[in-house]
Amino acid sequence: MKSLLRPLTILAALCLCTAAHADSVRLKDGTRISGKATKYDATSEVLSWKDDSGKNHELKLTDLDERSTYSVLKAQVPKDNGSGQLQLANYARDIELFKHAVRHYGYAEKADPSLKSEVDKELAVLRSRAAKWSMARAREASAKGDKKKALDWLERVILKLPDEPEAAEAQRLVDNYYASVKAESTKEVDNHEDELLEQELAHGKKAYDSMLERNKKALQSKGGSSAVKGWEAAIKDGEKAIGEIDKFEKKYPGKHTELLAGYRKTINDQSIEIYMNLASQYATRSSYNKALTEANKALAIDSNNAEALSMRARIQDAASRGLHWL
Amino acid sequence: MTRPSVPTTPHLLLCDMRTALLILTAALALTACGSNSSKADYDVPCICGTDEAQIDGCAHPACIADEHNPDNPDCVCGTMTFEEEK
Repeated sequence: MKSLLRPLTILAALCLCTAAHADSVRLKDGTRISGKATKYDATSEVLSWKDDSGKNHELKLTDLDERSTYSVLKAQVPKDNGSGQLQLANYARDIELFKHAVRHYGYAEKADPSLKSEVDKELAVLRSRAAKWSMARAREASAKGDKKKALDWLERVILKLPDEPEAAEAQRLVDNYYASVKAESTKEVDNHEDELLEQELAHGKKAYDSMLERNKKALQSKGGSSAVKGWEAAIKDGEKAIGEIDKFEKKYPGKHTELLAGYRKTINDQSIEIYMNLASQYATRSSYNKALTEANKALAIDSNNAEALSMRARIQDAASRGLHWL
Repeated sequence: MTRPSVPTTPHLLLCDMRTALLILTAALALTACGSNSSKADYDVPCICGTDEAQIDGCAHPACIADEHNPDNPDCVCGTMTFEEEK
């Protein structure tokens, strides 16, 4: 019994250490100091910080990196201080924390509705910068040969920032990546050598190809409603493709089980992506209920899909707080 | 006649065990309180600090609740708390 004491005590100590989570700040030179803030003097712009060993540090705001500076400033501005939140939003935007900035713009407008026109003006600046910044990420990914990531960034610009000039550029660039990224995702299931399967699933394959084409065209379309129609038709194509797999399974029970599961997953993944595009499209127009419906449809296919779960949480957050969408 | 040796009672040992178990229970409870994943019925990773989070935001339960996620040093969600100086 005594032998149990030591491990139990160690376990308890470890749990307590984990429970007492520490914050951290990072200096401009990259040094991270773990510990806890004890005071901030707004006049001298000095943060008093006690590190994990109990040593006190007096850190000038100018010595902190941008994100730590943002954390300190955020703690000084109450949510009901409209002009303070507006300044904080501008700071977050300027250090490229776009989503944080959007939240602060929302708080500013809520605290002081008279700031609406100024908030709108600053939000326009944010969208323009966010579009340029995202296109730079797409180019970076492309330069590294990561076509999937490049396509993800282009889609972000198209879906989140449709009114920026960069969205048109992104639409043009989609062609460079889309086909090869999609071909990569179906590579495994395409490499079979069964004529019967190919013959029986020809209609399903055609429906899937149509699904991909419609998704691409919807991404490249100008009007919001034509994109929505395209995605809805693409979803129907996906259902048709799944129906062909069902038929095959009924006709040839137990045949190509693994391969068919792969097909099914590929189509379902594509359907989830399209539901996410629809959700994003609706959220951009602040149609949060419709956006939520689409996110839930994605989750009906895969209840553990991290992207769909994230999307739903973000939509619910924006809707409940009355915040702008980005 | 020598007094019979009293068999060692585990009384003290039991006390120690009880104390250790009590600490362990308290620690587990504290850890559970500190864990932000219990705040929502979904579990998504904290992506704060990534490029994607700068545009999409982070949907980790703590971040959605506008709270800091102490498990991710790159998380700037929530508000920095100030410990009273003693």
